[in-house]
Amino acid sequence: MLRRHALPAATVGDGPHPDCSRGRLPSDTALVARMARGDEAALGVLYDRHGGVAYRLAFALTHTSEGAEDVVSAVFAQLWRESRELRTARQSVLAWMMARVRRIALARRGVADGSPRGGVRIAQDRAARSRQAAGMKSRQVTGGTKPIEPLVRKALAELPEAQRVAVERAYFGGLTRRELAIEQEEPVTQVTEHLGSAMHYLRRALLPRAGTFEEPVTRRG
Amino acid sequence: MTHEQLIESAAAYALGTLDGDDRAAFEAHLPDCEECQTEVEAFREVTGLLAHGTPAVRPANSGALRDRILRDARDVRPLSSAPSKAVRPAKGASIMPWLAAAACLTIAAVSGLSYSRERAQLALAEHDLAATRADLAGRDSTIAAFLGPEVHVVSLSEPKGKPSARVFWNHTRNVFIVTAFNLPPVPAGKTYQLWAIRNGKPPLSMGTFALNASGRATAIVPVPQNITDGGFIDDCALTVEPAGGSAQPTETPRLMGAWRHVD
Repeated sequence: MLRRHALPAATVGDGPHPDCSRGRLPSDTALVARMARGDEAALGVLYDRHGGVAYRLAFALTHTSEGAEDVVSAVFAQLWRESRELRTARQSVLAWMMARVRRIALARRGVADGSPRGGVRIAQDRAARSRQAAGMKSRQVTGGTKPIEPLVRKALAELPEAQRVAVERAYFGGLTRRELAIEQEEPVTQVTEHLGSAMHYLRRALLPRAGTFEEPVTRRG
Repeated sequence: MTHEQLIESAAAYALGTLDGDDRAAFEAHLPDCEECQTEVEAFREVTGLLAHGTPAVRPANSGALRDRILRDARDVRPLSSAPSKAVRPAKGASIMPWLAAAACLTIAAVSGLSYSRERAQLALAEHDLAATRADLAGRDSTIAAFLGPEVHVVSLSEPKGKPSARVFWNHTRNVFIVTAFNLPPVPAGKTYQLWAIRNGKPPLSMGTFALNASGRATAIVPVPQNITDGGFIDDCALTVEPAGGSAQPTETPRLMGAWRHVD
């Protein structure tokens, strides 16, 4: 029987989570190294740490609880299977996981919609976004938000409208740059500029990833 | 495309918004550019944190999902540690009831494991299927361009030789579809360039294309406006030009052909 690890909430601070720095908690990278040696408990700890946010992103993209659970399950299965390779990846475990969540969730959505990328799908996305917003109101968890969440929300809210919409539609809507240009009725160059400016701002606001369970980013590989 | 132009797309690439030629161009540049790699890595870290901006929802039963993930892990990649030694029953004790109970438990456990495994495998299979569908959609688009109602074709060959390339002109979609085969690779810094030739007039560039690793090419190229406006074209020619293409051919055409209508 695997023991559940009670973990403190992510907090805002300077650099990695203080308990990681003091050696009280293993970093994500250390857990992945343990997984590569077949340590299932390490996988459980990573689920306790990031399973929640992975589910939230998966739910935002698939719009169903069953779909989100399947996506999260598939991502952790990949994390387990590819842990040896991930040890040498040049990105954090969280970034790797969220990229996989998006990829699998968007692929599932494409299958479910059965529609090609393009104008048709953009219209469907608008409808899905409304459904998603309506569904989420009844599923909102009251209280207990972690400090890192308002930091991200604040940074997104501070973006100029056009930049915020571009990032949200790209990240949560899965639109390509050309699809964004069609939807927003702007030239592709303008969309590129919005995305670039927004990501530079978010980078300054959010990195280094304060309060996360990651070791400082170093050039690996 | 220059490094300065490409690095402006680093954020768009990290967000997964580049597609088609844009993505291919960026990925071709990325392995050799430390600055773009650094940008992409930093932006990917940002995208990882953006997930915290989603509304706070939870799985209906987080513990069950956790258990499912751990069960799948055991099944996907069994641990390499040696199995524990079986406990031997005491001499003389009947083991039949224990065997029956163990069999029932095993059947229940296997059923549960099979269900979890199949759900995980289904999720991965759906992912693969979606990728395949996207690939097929791209191929369908190319095929549709071949089969339009208003299509002209030209076969390009050496004098009295077999064709080495064909160009289809879909007037409805106003694109050229270039298919090349049996062409030798061009030297570094050079590219293949196609020319539209009207009798008595200077050639007009139809665009450039590159071969893939196997020496073949399939490319869809928008028809330049000056060709659309210029009326009937007699012939098509292929030359090798400096990378980026030339305003006028700098060598004698290697391949030539006459346009004809597709039946």
